[in-house]
Amino acid sequence: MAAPLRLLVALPAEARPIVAHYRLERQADAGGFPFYRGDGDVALIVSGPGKLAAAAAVATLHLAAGAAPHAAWLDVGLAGHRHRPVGEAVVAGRVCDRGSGECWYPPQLWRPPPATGEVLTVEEVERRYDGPWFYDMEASGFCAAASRLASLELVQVLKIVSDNRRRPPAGLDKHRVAALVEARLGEIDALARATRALAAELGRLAAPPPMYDELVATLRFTASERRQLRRQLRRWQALAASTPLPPELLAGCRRGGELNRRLDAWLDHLAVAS
Amino acid sequence: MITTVYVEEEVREHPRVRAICRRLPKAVRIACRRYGEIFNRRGQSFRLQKRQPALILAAKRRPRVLETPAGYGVGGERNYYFSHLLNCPYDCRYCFLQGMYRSAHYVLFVNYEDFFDEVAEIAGAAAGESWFFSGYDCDSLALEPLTGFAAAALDRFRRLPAARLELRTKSVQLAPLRARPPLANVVVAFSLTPEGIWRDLEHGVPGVERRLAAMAELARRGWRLGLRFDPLIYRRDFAARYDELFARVFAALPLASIHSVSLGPFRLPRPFFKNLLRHYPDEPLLAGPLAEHDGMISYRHELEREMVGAVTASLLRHVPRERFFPCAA
Ligand code: SF4
Repeated sequence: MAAPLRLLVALPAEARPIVAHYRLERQADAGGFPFYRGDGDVALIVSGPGKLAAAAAVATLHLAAGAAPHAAWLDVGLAGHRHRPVGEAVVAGRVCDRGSGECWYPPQLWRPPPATGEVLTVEEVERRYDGPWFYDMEASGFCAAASRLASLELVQVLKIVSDNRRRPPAGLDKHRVAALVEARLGEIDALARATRALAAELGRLAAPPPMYDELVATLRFTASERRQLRRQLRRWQALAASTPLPPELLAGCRRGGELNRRLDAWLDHLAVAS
Repeated sequence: MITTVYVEEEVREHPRVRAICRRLPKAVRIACRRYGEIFNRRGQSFRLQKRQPALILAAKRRPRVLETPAGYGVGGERNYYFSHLLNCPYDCRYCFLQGMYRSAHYVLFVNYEDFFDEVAEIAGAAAGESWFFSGYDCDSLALEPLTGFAAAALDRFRRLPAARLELRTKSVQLAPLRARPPLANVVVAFSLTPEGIWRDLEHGVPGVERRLAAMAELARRGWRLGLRFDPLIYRRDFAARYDELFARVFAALPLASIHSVSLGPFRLPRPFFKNLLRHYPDEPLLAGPLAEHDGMISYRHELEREMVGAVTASLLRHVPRERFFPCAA
């Protein structure tokens, strides 16, 4: 099953092609932000411009979409660059915040690697383009908030060049914004798929082992006994997944601690014999 | 294939950085201030990064050369280690690095000369010999075609006769050793496990046969060899497996070329073990007959004693006791 996908955009016009692509439906606003959901646990929020709005929208999206622990997080939006052509898309290899100086380095684990750029989040629309950056206004807020909710590999930023020295941002209207995003849906979707595959792997690793839910529902366990049970059932999966739990392990067992001890002895025996 | 290279601002113009970047022309290059802001950051997944580790080029600040933990050594009185590289291209399931580091990216400290200067200082300050172990937080030779570290180290140790160098490896990257006459103060130590354990646990590592061939070639060239049977891994028929391994090893290598042999049981500090379990919950090795003693996870005492006893006895049928160092940490 695909892992949850959480998308953040700043502007309604950026959202439009993505909403259509993933067939998302508008929900009641979440925390004042326009909020969309669709099949396959895909959700999108429109943050409005600025890093603080982006950070707040990430937290809101997380809760509104069900607080999934291993979701793929994507910030998709526009950026200015000194000379890169309008319409070019890059995945951020580094995101820095001009105000605080803090940087994030979303790991680039893709083969082959997509075009990559360094994004600088600024407070106001950049018109001078002094540095070699892709200038945006949300990515650092997005990274700061999303990296608290998911492993850094699952937090990715894709920016599309909307303006440069020869084509300043003044002429951008909502149709142009939507067209720029629409033209890059292929790259957006590829990054979403790849990031969701990573999220699914982490989700699988953290999932409760077989029989865990049944046993916890049947016997009484303290919190630490539940952790031990998880561990013992994982051992069982590692050592002999195809061997069913012997019925005598459970026979007459009333407390979780007792089951854990029996499991430990049985698994030790299996481990020594393997 | 490395596809991303992070470069610390401080070393951006270092000739070694330029040379390494030339060797990776297709890699994306990203600037960073200090390697720690990538490598040490919380909330990243070693396991996911292991799919495609990036290379971080950085400068190592003092102290660069440290005393080894007690029990680590091959007979010398003063033992030190240094790590020009953090992490390894291989993927051994028992490797403590994946429990110790938050990131699987390789960090290469390009200021090799600073390491060597510190080695020279330490070696010069003491009478007699001092041992310096490379390959503590990495494999000494596996990334040699990219780093050229061993070549540089050999050239420097040639001029430091009181300093002893151990290069520890599972690789067969012999180029810098082939290109030089053997040095009396250098030991090239190879880690080995029985064939089936290599197949199950040492992902990406050259096979036992290839490593034996590499060792035999070095022996022919006059290099002194170390044998590291570390970690000892349990299997029901472990004694037979290690017997077979030793028979192969000592048939392939002349005893005269063997400087030292050590063995050490599988052991991990508890926090590292917990991290490994998080990364590889389905790994049979980690589900084995293990127990915690004084903050370390290892085989249950009686089992560990039995393994060490049987394997030591088998080993001592092949090597004289004075070349055997049983308790490498
Ligand atoms: S070769 Fe050594 S350093 Fe590399 S993964 Fe294996 S145990 Fe770890």
